[in-house]
Parts: sequence; structure tokens; C-alpha cells
Amino acid sequence: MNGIHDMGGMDGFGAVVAPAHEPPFHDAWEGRVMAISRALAATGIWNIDQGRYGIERLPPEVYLTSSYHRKWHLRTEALLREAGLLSATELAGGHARGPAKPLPHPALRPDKVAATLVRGNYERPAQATARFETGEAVRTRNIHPLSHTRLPRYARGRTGVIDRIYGCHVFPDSFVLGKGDDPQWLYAVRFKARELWGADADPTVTVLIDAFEPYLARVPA
Amino acid sequence: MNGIHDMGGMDGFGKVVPDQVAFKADWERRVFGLLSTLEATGALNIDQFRHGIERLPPEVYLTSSYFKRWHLMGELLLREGGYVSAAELANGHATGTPKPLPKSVMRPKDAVAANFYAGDFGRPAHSIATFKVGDTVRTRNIHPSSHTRLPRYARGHVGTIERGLGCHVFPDVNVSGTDENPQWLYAVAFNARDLWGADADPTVRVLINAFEPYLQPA
Repeated sequence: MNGIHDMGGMDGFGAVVAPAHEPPFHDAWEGRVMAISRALAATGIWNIDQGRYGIERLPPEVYLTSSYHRKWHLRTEALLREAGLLSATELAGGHARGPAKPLPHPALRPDKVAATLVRGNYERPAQATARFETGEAVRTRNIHPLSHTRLPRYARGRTGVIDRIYGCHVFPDSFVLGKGDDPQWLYAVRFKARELWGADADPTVTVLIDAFEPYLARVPA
Repeated sequence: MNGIHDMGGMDGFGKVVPDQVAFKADWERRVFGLLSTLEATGALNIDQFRHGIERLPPEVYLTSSYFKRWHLMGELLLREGGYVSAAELANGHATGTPKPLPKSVMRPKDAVAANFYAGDFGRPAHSIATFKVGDTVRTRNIHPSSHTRLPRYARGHVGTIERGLGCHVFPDVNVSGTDENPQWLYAVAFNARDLWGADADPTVRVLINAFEPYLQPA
């Protein structure tokens, strides 16, 4: 989706200001939002890419005016409504109005919480040999899927070089659609800034993008 | 500038709902009058106006109505031009000697001509047009930090000259306020699949008005 989240290459947002000692949560509700979101993900209602796509689909003006955890909160409400687990009336009233809909996995218990807090491992056994090798020139495809993708707009239809092979990983573009892991080879691809943005770009800059094999095509010799 | 205004090819904004009312409140009419007057004095031109709107903070741009953007842009450009101070804006009164305007103040009899929707930006040609109807061209992959009329989604793509539109004020330079730099203008036709690949509707064509400096032979 060419949504508001795909800000790479855009102007006008000002400098990224990273405070030196920023706390993980600015308020107690942010911590609760994160906990609710993790607990829901543990029940199998949605996966990481469906969660990301939920954030991308927030109205653009809401996206731009909401803090990081506010986006999580709004995304969680939207996905719960879409899944039929929560009605607009229940959200407004703050109380359940009907019997609870069954969850794919049992509700998260305290002894399982620690496992939800470690970074997930999305590497999977390879189904085929890698199509590209380190140092090879590749061209990104000019794709514009309506759904979630990890290839930013500014890097489509551009030529780069395979910098590193990461192995085979869950393919977000399939995973978001509920089509399973569909593991694909993942590469770091190096682009010259001038290939991405032309003569207006800094000639000393290179950009590395993690790109899945289906994003890439061979460059004709 | 690859700003928030450059929405072509983006998803998530919902349907365009046209409305039929020119002004939704009296202040919108006044904003239009004030800024048309300002243009007539030669203090600012249309491309500086447009670039001023593009430079509004993205979240302000998305949450402001059409004339609210004009209003905020007017304040921004008047402050940048030294015509008004933040203190004057805050208290609503001039507190110093007014800065002289390039042209005289607009009079009621000049008001109709000052409406820049009626403006003519055609200019005499200083050279022969490089392209003719039917020529295949590729747009340049430009990313100027200032105003341009070539949308992001149409950069680095192949199209066909559909029509010559004459020689016109070149916005990318006119935004500087010092030079109209007239250039040939063309309507260029693109197949949607050339712009957006296999995900696009194969029956759709997009026409873009592109100035000659945006184009190179394909």
C-alpha cells in the first residue's frame, strides 16, 4: 500500500529528533496498549504483518497526528472490530454486550508472557536455492500492491547490487494476506542515492534496503 | 519538493468528494480576496503561493480546508517576506512602517484582472520546441527541494507527446520570484502500467502537463 507510512524520499517532515533518554512509555496507558496488543497477537488473531498493515490503513491525518503507541491503540481497535471481536457499541460503552467470540489460541497466561516479549524469529528453511548472489546487479520491480509490502516507493524500478544474503524468511506480502509463511530469500540490496533520486541526490550516499526475492529481477547483461 | 501535496499514486485517502460551493464561510472569501490582492502588488507570484502551501507542516496540510491552507500560506509568506511580523499577526495591528510593495496597491478596477484563475502564463518562445506530437520521451528523475510540477509517480517513466501547449512561465524557476524562464509545455501521455507496473489498470492512460526541462528523448 502506497500509504502515508511510506515516507522515505519525502520532504517537509523536519529533522528526526531522537531524545537522549526517551522512556519506552511516555504514560502508563502506552504500556497497557503494548500489553493488550501482545496478548491479542498471542491468541493468533493477527500476525505481525497484519498488525503493521493495520497501522498503515489508519487515516493519513490520524497517522501523522498520533504518537507511536496511539497508532498501536487505534490499530488494535480497528483490527478487533474487523475480526468481529468487538463492536463499535462495546468500544463506546466500555463493556462487552454479547458472548465472547472464540479465539484461535487460548488466552495468554502469565507464564507465557515472557515468550511474547522476545523478538520473533521469522527465518524459515529454504524451499529453493537463492536466485541471486552477492555482488550481482538486480533491478527492483515496479510493484504497487494495495496491501502490505516492505519495498518502499522510492526504491521501485531501480538498479542496485546484492550486498548480503540473509537467508530465507517469512514473506510479509503473503503473510499479511493469510497465505501462510511463504518463505522467500531475503537480501540486503545497495543502491546509490543518485540511482534512486537522480542528480539532486548526494553523490556520496548509498542506501541499503532489505528486499525479498520476489521484489527483484535480473538486470539484462 | 516531495511534499505531502504530491499525493498522486498514494493510497488511503478515500474517495474524492467534489463540493459545489466556492466559499463555505465568509472568511474564506476574504482570504481569497487578500491573497489575490497580494499577488497584484507583485510581492509574491502564483508559484510562490503554491510552494508556500506545500511547505505547511504535513499534518496541518492534511487537516486544513482549501482556504485554511491559503490563509496559513499567506501568513507564512508575509512573515518570510518581511511584510508582517509574528507580533503584528498576533495582535492584529501594524506596529512599524510598512515595507514598500513592488507595484502599487490594487484598486477596485484592477480586481477582475487580479484573479489569477484568469491569469495567462503563456509567453513568447525564445527557441524551437525540442519535441513534437508522437515523440517518445522519458521524464527525468528529478527531486528538487523547491516547487516542481512533475509528480513523483511520473519521474523516470516513458510516455508519448500527445500535444504541444505552447511556451509558458516555468514554475520551477518562477518560484524564485526573480525569473519567469519560459519553457515549452507538453501534454505527455503515459500508460498506467508504465507508471505503476502490473498492479495498474491496463486500460488507463494518464496525461501530464510537463515542461521541456522535465523531458529527455527516450
